[in-house]
Amino acid sequence: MLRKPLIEFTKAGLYCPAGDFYIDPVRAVKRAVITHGHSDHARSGHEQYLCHTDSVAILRLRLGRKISVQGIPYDEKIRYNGVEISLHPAGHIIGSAMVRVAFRDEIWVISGDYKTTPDGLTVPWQPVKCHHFITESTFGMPVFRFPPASEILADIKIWQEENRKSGRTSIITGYSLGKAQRLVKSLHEMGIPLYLHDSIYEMNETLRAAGQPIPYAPRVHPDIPAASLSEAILLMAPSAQAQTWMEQLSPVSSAMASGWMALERRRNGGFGFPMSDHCDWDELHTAVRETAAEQIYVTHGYSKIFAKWLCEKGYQASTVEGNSYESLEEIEE
Amino acid sequence: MKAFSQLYKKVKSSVSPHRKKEVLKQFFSVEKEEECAAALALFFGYKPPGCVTGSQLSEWACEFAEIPGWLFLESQAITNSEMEAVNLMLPRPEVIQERSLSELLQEIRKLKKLDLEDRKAMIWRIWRQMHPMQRPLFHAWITGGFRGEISSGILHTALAEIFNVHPFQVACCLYGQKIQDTSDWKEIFKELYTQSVPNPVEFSVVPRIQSFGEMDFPETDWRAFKMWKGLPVQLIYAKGRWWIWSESARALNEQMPEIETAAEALPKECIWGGEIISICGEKVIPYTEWKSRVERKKNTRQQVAEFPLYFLLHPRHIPDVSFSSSVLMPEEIQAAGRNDQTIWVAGESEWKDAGILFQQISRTDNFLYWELVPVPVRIFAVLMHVELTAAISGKMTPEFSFGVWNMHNTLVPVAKTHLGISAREQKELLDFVKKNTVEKRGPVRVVQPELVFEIEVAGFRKNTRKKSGIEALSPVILRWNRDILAIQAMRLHELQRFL
Repeated sequence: MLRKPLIEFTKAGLYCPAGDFYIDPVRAVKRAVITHGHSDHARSGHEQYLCHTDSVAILRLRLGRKISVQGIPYDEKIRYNGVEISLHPAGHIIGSAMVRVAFRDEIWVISGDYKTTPDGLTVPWQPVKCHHFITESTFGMPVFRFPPASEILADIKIWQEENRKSGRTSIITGYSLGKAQRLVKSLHEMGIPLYLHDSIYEMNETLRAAGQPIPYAPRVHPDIPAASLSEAILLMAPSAQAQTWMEQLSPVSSAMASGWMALERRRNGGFGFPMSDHCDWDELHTAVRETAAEQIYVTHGYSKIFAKWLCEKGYQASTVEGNSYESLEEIEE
Repeated sequence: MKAFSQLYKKVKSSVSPHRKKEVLKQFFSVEKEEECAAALALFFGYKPPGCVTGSQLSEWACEFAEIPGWLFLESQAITNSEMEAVNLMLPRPEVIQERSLSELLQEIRKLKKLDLEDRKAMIWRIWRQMHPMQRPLFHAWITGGFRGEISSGILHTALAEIFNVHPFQVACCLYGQKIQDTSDWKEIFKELYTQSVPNPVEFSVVPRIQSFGEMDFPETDWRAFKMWKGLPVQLIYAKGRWWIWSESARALNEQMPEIETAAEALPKECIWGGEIISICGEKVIPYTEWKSRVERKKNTRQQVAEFPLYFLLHPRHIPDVSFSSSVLMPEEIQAAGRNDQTIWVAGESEWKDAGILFQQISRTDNFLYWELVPVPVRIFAVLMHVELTAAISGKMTPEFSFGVWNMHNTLVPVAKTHLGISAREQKELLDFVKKNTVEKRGPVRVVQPELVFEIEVAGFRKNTRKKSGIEALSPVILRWNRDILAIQAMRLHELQRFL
């Protein structure tokens, strides 16, 4: 008789029947293991949350202070109904983790979102050997080969310098959790003054209060003189562009920091920096190879194409069937 | 090559002529002379010889990157462009070897002489050394798909500011030269300071008024001229020929050979200001219809026959005193090539059909001009769709399209604008768009036809390329009319009477 798989793909998300818990569920469940604090992975409504220690503050900020959340450090093992769970660095954002689930002689690793290249802020990704590896494939196409961060940062510096000379305010839009902290740290090290939009400022202060080594950058407000703004870079969440006080910043030059900016049509004639917190094509291959998994499941993004490619390369690979993430239009970076 | 690829990227990503000019100035001021000469040649139309087809290149790239054909097709579907897919999917070289622009262009010339297998080997070798940012240019050159992406006017202005001369001097110096990437920079500009060329006079900006009431017009002191809204130019005689110099710092001799010929009848001592208009039969053709004659470098016979051009002398361009031995008043000179320009005194009732230029004739030292423009029209139109990230003046701005009802009770678009809306309203509108999108077309969101806006337009003109057959000129959103239902918005036949 065939044994039931350790992880099942259900409409509510990835479910471990033996341990009775879900990983990044999309519907309200009793027990949820959360890979990281992005809203497409950490959703409200669950009774209990388990995540990495560094994600606790993020979850409380985003989902409310009253949630029941337990934080554990990387590599620490805990058990639910005899199923061993441990979290391992995913290198995606602060507190992001890959979930290792082991029961009897079977090991599964659920990657969540991850990147293999260290970014100087998050704990770098570490490969975890397993039998079954569930990987994301947000940028699982050969056209996504991102340049090194040093090159992107040099481009940002040149762009900001040109804007400064022509009296324009430089605005970079990027997700308030992840990209924003990376940029704050890197640009601060490069000596570029920064101002932060509300949501980024609040997230940064929460993380700083939780002991994360993120440099301080002030919150932007309408009273800041235009001359000071044009000397600096204003970091802004993508949703914040249409605010009333933005009118006072004119002239501006805005650019988005996102892996999607590798594509010309996404830049749409404007500026963009292809900086991502996800694996690019080459990194995905590195990760798949280093886990030494017998079976690969692909989810998020170009899952069918990446799974087909892996099969051609001799891996046992398939997509995560029935996963409701697939219907999401855009994946939070 | 690195500097040129950065320059090209900046020029391509900007819609602002000023910014393009600034980056060009920076490049030509800093780079080595041989790099500058090669860049100038490329911007002036030099094309390295194409040596591979796009499909050959993508085949070689797939082989190089070890990507199967099906995966390349999937990649192409993401980028919407075969060349971009090739550019992006090539692996990053382990060691980047910098080449100068002139070196690379020489290598491309060598490629053409090789057989196919050797070409492939050489391209692979270049891929193994070239920075990914430089690939798009390299591929455009070897496939013959390179476009200069810059107007000669911007180039003239940038170079003129470097050499501290008038753009016309640069244009005269460069005109007719066959600039190659191997040309000598000093040789190209050797005539710049030795040639005897007059500077054009300023193209004046005329203040606009919308009614006689706004100006005090003494009865006999002012003369009115019909404005045809053609292309403002100056005719300048220099280096043994007439130059047709446009406001955008371009010499249009190649585009308008008939004007150059017609100008032969004019006295050569002065600079003649006026506008180029196209007259077919008795009808003056709007500039938008014949501007293809200006945009193309060389006109086809069909274009020349379809849009015959005339130079209409303007009274406001008085010859530069230092160059003119005689000052000729407008009524003494008629349009070159056509002698039926009407100079007439306009009545209040006549001004609506065209813009009118008023000249104060009592002042001979410094003429005063006012342009009377039609009163704007206000229309009520329904929001049809929104382009979320339209690139306007280098800024990503949502642009709104409005439509009116046609006889079949279907909305047809008539105006598109981003102007006149406050940031608060824009945010509210974008929230509405989020909730009421019925169709997505790239960055365009088609919304439920519910919201009515009052829009001010300078006028309408026929445009057969538009679904409605008309096009609003300079539309600006006046207000969001929340109390008007979509069905109460205007109908197409009501707008057609403004034509």
